[in-house]
Amino acid sequence: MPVKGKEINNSNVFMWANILKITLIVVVALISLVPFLWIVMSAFKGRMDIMSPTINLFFKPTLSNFMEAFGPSGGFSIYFRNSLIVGISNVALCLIIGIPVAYTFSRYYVLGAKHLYFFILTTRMCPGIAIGVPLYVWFNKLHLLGTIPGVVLAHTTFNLALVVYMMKGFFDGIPKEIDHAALVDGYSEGQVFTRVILPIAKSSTIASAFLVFIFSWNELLFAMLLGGETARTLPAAFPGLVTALGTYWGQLCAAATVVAIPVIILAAFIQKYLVQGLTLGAVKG
Amino acid sequence: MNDAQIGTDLRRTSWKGWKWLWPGFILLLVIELIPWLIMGDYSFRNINYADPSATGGYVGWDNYRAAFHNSGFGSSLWLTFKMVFICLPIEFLLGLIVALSLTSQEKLKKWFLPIIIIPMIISPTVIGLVGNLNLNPDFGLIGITLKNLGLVKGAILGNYKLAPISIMAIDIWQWTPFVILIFTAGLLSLPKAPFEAASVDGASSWQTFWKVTIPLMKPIFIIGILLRFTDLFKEFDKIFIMTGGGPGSSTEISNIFAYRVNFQFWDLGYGSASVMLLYIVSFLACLLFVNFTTSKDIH
Repeated sequence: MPVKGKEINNSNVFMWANILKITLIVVVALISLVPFLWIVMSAFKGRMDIMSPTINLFFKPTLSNFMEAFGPSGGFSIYFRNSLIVGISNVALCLIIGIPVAYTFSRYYVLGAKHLYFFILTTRMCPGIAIGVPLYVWFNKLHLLGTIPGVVLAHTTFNLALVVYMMKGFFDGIPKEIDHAALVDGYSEGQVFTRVILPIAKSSTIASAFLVFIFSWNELLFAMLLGGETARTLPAAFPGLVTALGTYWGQLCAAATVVAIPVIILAAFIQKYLVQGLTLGAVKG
Repeated sequence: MNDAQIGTDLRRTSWKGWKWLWPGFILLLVIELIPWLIMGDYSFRNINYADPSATGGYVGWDNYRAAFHNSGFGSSLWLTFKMVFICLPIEFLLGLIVALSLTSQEKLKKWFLPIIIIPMIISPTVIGLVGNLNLNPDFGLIGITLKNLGLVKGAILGNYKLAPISIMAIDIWQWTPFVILIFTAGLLSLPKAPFEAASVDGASSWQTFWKVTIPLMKPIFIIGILLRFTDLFKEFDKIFIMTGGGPGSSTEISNIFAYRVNFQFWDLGYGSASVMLLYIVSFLACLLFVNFTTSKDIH
């Protein structure tokens, strides 16, 4: 009898604990989603609806904000193009340079490698302004201010670390026996890398590429400082919409939607690798 | 000969691997080391683009002394640390609670995780706009609600007391999902053996939690804390967009202070010194991170 009573008690506790857990999860999901959804909805609202002092779920949707921002008078289509070029160039640069570096760290005991490895980590961890100030001065001397290559180089300062750390983590997981077997088969070291290891690394490479693109696409400080007006990316254009005449909320929301949606889509593709990428390979997702 | 180079020879280090390290090394030299040297140089000089009397000559440690005595640098650093030590524990605890709640909810996980990725992966610039628009007391979702509840009377981001609270709340909104994600991954990666042993020994779930789960999660906790610490220290974009340093300097964290000194006042000498000091803190954090993660690696 006492045992039976205790069992009922336990299952009651379990039931309530479960309900609480599920409620918490749902609430957190809603909190994460709704403020962002408000922006996306506002992108499709006319000026009166955005500034309405009451919260309306229903409004007449319009594309006017997108047309104004991305049309010929808005200039945002140029910023979009700049963001795209900067992002893709950054991916190419970081992968081409970073992957061999990661492989070397993984496979070779090289003099000075540990120090370089640590130095690369510090690049990921230092505040943007710490690099932004000297880069501004340095790029000024090199006539790289206001150019796309300048912004691409600046983004490399933090994205290279991402590629190196993530890919090294991946390469560490490939047994060295595979390298040995290939060497025994007569491949040169370079061929071991390109013909044997790289093909295995496809999904990690794509994940690194997407993450590099996302971080470059999202970035503000270097784009503002070093891109100026001629190499302005999408995020760097946001401050310009807050003018003395008022804030162009509609266009801001439209631009924000265009900045956010591609990133969400890319992130959805590489969900599995997100944890690894964001923790620099320290936590396996 | 080839065997010795591919990692089996533990005693011999060589220069051979450098053939692939050169491009990366040179790139980093150009975009990291040289700028750092320039900045170090500037920090000892009196360089001010806005001041015609600043000759650019060397002034020794003057800039650093000014940084220590100037209230702007100190208060911005203090604000930064306040933000770190308020946001970090909250994100940690909330993240842990949610991650634990997720452990047995496989179906919910599939929908939940993709949704919460959104705040942490979108551009901080967009996050800034999310904060700006939602917290607007006249037509923002949260602003109107708070006003209707009587909790605020006027401006939120324009109020020097509410602005810092708001930016911390937005940071918690943005980054708790990150903590949830890595703790969830961590919980999944825990070995089963200790848990089986605990249940065989008749431990209650409460005891199992404190004596098995928490100790096993310690490495993940530390990685999460270190990453959030350094990222909070790097904070700039969303606060710049939301308040630009706040009403007065109520939300002026170190990076925004440095931005103002360097690119609004153009006092690059003093600004460089401030930035060098900021560098030191993040460098120390790096040491911790490396120390911690490499001691866990088994090479």
